[in-house]
Amino acid sequence: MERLELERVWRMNALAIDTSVGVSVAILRSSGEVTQSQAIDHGMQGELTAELISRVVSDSGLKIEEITDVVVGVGPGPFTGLRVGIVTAAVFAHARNISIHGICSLDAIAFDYANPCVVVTDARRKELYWARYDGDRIGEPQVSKPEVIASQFPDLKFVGPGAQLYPDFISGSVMELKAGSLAKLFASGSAQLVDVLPMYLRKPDAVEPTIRKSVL
Amino acid sequence: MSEPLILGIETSCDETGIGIVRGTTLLADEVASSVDEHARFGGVVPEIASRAHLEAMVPTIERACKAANIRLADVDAIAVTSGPGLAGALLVGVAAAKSLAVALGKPIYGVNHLAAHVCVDQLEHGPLNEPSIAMLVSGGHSSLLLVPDITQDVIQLGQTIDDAAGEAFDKIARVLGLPFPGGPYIDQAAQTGNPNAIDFPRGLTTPKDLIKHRFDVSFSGLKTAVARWIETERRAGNSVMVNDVAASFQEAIVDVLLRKAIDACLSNDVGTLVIGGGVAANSRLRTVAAQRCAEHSIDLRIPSPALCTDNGAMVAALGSELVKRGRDTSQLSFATDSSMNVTTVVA
Ligand SMILES: [Zn+2]
Repeated sequence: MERLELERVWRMNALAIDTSVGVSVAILRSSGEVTQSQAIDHGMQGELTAELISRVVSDSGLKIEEITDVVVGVGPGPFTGLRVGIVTAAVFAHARNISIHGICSLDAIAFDYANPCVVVTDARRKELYWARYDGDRIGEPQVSKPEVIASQFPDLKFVGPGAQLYPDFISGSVMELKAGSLAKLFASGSAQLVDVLPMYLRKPDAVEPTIRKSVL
Repeated sequence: MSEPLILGIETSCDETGIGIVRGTTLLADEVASSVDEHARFGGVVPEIASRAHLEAMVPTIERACKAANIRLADVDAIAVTSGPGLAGALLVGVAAAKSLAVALGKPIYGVNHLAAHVCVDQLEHGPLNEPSIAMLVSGGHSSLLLVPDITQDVIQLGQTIDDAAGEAFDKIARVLGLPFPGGPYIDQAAQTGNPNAIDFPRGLTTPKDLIKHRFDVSFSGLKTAVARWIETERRAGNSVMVNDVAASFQEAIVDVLLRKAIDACLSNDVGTLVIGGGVAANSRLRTVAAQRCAEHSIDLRIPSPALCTDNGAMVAALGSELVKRGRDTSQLSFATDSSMNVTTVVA
């Protein structure tokens, strides 16, 4: 457990959820205490997210009804897992009638790291999700091939879960994505809030068929 | 004490369904469908369905609570489809259900979609007779089940060995130039057609087939026969009567399905047939089922069309029955299972 030094009056008990890279769940209490738990396995979001929430809430000593806000990482990230966190957060906030706040997941990693940097996470298909930071995020997150990102930012540090996936092009510091950081970023008051919808960055894999030939 | 209040969530395919029941009383059945988004692809696109479920989830829960005139906090248990179905779509519903369970501090049941299709009939026709024979026919499934106990003992007698019944409708509709989903359009076209105009094949009904596949069905041969018939007519320069083809094709499907279902009832000495799934909305299936069940003194139960298609009420209905019979709840960590076997009623 760690304690966040809060500079401003803080009356919130926030539940933070991110499933863009594995699962990470945290409670940030109004006292500044952070309790968090994570599982970095891909593809286990559906099994683990609710269970981790239940565990983290009880470890934090809070009662469910004392949670005042939900903070959720909206990606980018692999779609199937990402949706688990977002629907979990949205339904939780609705059921408890509390506010929900969306934050780009990559921002949580940048918050933990001394800027400037480029945050990278695994986008599969030989690509990375990335965003550049210099204090704040510069522009929107994107998905690109590692060689393209590397050539675009020859002088910047790369950080994040994707920093060692393509050592031929990018070599940086692997850092986990922690929901606690998402909560702290929100508490700092400097978070760039976004709609609580997944940052897909890719279109669905569905090709519209050409006009079907009728045999008639 | 009043009966338990159950909220059911269904997201196995392209319908986001939220149902609320108290005991066997239906209070709300809200469905948000993404079918229009799939129509141009001629079939359900899993990623599009999953995206739509996510966006529809909270609004649909909200509508259901309003329709049922309850508060979420009043709910006694959550039930959700945990399989079978599209993996990514199931995951959205299950995550939503688990979140509700944690946020409200209520138990959760991850339930089998097929068993829920059977159980929904209780909302309209009273307690299920056990054992029953259940025939589930939709775009995703064609199953013949023996149901000694809907909460823990469901036996699969047969299933399709190729296409689901609803898929056969979709494919033939496509061949006939009718829109997706094909079922309702074929049903409509068949109204003015002659069901005996063309003698299409009845798959898996020869004595030899019956040895191995007595309660299984197959529709790919029928599909090929229809396509070939149309092609032959066209080459011969004859104009094809769409309505006759639709009616004759529909007759072949309905005939085979009901032959198998009646045989299942008689051979298992079961006096009740329950039909569910989207294809159960087919008017010809309902008519012929009524005739043949009457001939054999079988009690026929088919839910109204809205409850035959995928919906949350069926999931809530099964959840309610699980609570009533004191069955074990699911662990919070239960997994979705896209090919969940019907012998598993609760995850
Ligand atoms: Zn179904």
